[in-house]
Amino acid sequence: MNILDTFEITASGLTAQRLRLQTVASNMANARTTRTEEGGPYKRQMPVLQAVRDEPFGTELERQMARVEIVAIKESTEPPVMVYDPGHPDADEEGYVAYPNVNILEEMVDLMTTSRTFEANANVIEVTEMMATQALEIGGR
Amino acid sequence: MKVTSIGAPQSPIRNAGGANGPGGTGFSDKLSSAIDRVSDQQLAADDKLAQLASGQDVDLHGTMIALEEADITLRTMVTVRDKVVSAYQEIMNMAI
Repeated sequence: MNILDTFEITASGLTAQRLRLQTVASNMANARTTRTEEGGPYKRQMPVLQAVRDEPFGTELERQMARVEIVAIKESTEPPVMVYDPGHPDADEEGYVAYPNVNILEEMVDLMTTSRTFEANANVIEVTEMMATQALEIGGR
Repeated sequence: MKVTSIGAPQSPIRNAGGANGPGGTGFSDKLSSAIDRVSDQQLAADDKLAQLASGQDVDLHGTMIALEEADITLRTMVTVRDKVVSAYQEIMNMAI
């Protein structure tokens, strides 16, 4: 296991969190979107993260390590929020408007965990760099 | 306490010398391939930077990590170089 491989794993974590941030941004921006190209209100997007092991020929230890990858971004299956608002241009015959199944509070929590996870991964990079520097100091004396 | 004799040492100088021993590459080969790797890392970091600057779809953190990798490999090479130079000087300053 090369010290640079640690960077690769952490980079995948950072990429995953960045994509997660994008889904949160999309959900927040469209929290009140009632129209989409497919028709109906916007549906909450959710990233699906998967652990990827890609060292089939590595040592036993290396095979245990996994990168993370966002394999899909799926729509939430929760029903839309129906709000009575007969004056709205997208209201149905009974006066109800279908608003997206996005809960802004949930999105805020997601945003915070995304930010914290990104921070944690960035810290891993910092520590890896520090350990490499310390290892170099052994030889540099 | 057991004192081992100073008998004939395993002549490390002869083995580490420039000539390629049977079934192994010499030190200079190893060194040049290591320098190549360092150079590759620098070029990769350069590429990433150029892509980022020209607005292509590259991760900001990916670029920074490439820079960091290049930095670490370069510092490793410099440390090895320092060691080699100091060993060389040690030999050259030896009183004969």
